[in-house]
Amino acid sequence: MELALELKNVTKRYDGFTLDAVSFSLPRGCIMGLIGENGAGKSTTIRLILDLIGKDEGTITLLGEDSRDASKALREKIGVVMDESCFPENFTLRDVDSVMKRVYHSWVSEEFFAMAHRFSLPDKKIVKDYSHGMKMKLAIAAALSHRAELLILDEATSGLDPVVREEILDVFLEFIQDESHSILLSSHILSDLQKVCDYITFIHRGKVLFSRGKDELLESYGILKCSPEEFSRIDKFAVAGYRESKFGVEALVLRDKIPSGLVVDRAGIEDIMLYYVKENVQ
Amino acid sequence: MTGLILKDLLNLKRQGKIIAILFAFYLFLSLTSHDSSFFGGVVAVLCAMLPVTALSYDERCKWDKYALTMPVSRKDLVISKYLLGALFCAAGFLVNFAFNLITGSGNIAEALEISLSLLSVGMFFISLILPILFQFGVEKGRLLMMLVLFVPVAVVVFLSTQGLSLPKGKNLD
Repeated sequence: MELALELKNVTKRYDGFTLDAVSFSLPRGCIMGLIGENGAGKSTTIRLILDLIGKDEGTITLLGEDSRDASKALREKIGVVMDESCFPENFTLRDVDSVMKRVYHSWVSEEFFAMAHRFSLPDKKIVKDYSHGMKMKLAIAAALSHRAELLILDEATSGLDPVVREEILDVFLEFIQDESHSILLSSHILSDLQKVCDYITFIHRGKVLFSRGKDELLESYGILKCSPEEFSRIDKFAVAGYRESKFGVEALVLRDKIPSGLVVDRAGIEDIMLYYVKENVQ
Repeated sequence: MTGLILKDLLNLKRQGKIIAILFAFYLFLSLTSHDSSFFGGVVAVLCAMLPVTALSYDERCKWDKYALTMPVSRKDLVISKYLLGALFCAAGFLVNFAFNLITGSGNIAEALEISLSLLSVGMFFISLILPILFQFGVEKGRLLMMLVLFVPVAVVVFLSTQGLSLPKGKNLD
């Protein structure tokens, strides 16, 4: 399977924060969600991938090329959306188009305007007068208008209303119809990720806790609700995290390690993340 | 590269009106007071200031971070600002040359001398200020920029009070 993105033992040290030996890989044709709390290292990871900051150790391979001093040809094939719109405030759609077609050889003006109109972006307004949602849509339209093969989005859907997010997720799913395309997106809106992602990579305090297929993840974990007595009889290796209340115990468990007879509900990505974090705090 | 320069020009378009008004004002002032040097200085300074304005716009919208994800290198970003500065200085030179030719004695050599010296002031300013702004950013660099502007002025003023005469044209030949 050809990889769109591969990180091996990527380490970056700051005072008070270390991104520690992060490794994961994203096959072509797939969407990977990068999850984790604020400050867990998601944005740092994305900045390292984009070579905006230098790494201390490890290797990053983007579409088969080393990310360090990425060639311009490689940059053409990567579409990036930051957590804010970075277009100059005085720009209109036409200005964005005339600049970008001189920056990207593969820029397709028709596709850009088609996407902008699909997102109902106004022709006359300048970026300064755009709403946050419109700015993000503009950035996404730009990222999709130069024949990119890999999209990298840092918190692109955060701060947007559900209708807009749905619209954007649809665009992502269309993009991924081409099997050579792939997407890496970081977000803390986990329901969005659960909807579109094939892989989930969970970063916690600068470390990758897991990087696995979403379906596999959702199948293997479940939420167990039982009494403290029942809970005490369960193999502790089956428990990823739990919390006790006066009504009993709720635990995130590996489904196949739980004796039949106990009720195990489906776990969402959110449950898995919350229990994992809680367990690691203790 | 053309994309980066076009980006700055489009972004500065809105400043164009203000600059045109300033030009008109100083043009009027120079014509009525029969002192052409003022207009020339203003044109040179404005043209040299525009790349700084462009940089501060970039900083505000975090353009650099975004541009570096495009097929644009750090080197391209720096070079584009110098080219922009050279472009504005050249434009300022043409304006000054035309102005001096029309309002002055009509002597081409004299007009050329004045506008070339103003051009060199603008270029000198840009080559001094851009490295500082790249290193410290426009916000922090602003104070240093003031120093860069005022120290030479202060030195000249100081020297003139010491009874030294400014270099004459023929001394420079």
